[in-house]
Amino acid sequence: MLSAPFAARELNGEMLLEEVATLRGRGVPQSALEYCAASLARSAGAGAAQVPDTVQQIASSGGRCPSPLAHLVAAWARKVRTDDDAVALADHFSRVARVAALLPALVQASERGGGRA
Amino acid sequence: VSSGPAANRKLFAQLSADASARLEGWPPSRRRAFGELLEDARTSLQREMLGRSLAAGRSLPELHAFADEIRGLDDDALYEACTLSGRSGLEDSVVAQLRAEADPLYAYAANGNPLDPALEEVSSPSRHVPASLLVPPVPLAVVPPRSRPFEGVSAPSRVDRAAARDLGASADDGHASHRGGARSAEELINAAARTGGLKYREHHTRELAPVLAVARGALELGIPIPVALGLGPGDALRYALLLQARPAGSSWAFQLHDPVDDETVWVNEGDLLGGVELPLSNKRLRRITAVVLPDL
Repeated sequence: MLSAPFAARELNGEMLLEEVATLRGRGVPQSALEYCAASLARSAGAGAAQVPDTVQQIASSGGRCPSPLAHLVAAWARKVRTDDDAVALADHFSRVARVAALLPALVQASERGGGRA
Repeated sequence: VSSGPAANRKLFAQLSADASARLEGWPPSRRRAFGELLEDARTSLQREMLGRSLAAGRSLPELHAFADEIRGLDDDALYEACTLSGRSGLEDSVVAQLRAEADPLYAYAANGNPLDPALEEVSSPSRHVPASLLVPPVPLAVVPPRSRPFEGVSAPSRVDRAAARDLGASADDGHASHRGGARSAEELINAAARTGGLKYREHHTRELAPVLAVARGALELGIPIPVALGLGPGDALRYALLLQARPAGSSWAFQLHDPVDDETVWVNEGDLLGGVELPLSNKRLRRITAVVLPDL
């Protein structure tokens, strides 16, 4: 059962895009997004109880997870109530990492590949 | 801040490093005016809110109006007014919450307390992000923060263009290329997705149903799907991203994001299969003309 914030329709839509734009605008590198996504994915199966430890580990990883990203993960982690939420949290940050990687490539493909619509 | 009057210097000394740095860039007359606002504040919390708003990049007229508004509030009321509430409609947005913590004036306005509209013209300023929420820039994203980073629908296109230039610069170095030096869309997408362990393949097809079915399955696994858009088969005027698929009645709806025009729409699967024009503002982007599917 998902809690309301993780069941929101725009969690992986408008909210995700806003987060990607904000994180990139604040200089968070792709490698940090992927590190964070991988950390959350590894612990997702352990359920909601494991989330605080994972977030603590991410926050204390120094340069691997810059503070804007650590803050964002911590803010979402505070909303985790159920084991399904923990999975949704990991899924969300996995999507954040993938979308953040792809968007610049799509802009470039549009500009180069006859993208003069 | 060394050039203000003695009373101001004492108050300025209590400001954060970010607020002080911003104040340093102001002319003496503005610094004095801000010092007066701090002086007139009735509590430490009011001064703290003004300092945070300054650090967040607010203009002097905005700060003046904000100071006038909060001067009559006790600390409990001020705290409540500057914490995102249900009235704001933003309480579920983590990004909005983070911004509200850094910029009390943002939360105050979002909670339905607009400042004097006459301030709008002078208050369009750069919205500086406090250093406490910043990290040193790194190559992929050496871009300035968006000027209005959290308002309305996400607008990553400017950032994406900058990042795309970075990607392009490295992409052209010694790799196989199409079109006389430029990489194909599929190559660009695969270069971007490589670190995530995904490999994509572009499918040009007149029959969308089977590729959409695969795309939907991938989206349910959390894998975004690039698509080409254009007037019809063979066109690839623009590359966009399917972000998610959700049940819509007896069918499905796909969320499509165009990073160039920064437009995000929901499209019903039936409309896609029926050839209905996409609901994007650019009317040349009528159809999905290709789907770039991951090898799973």
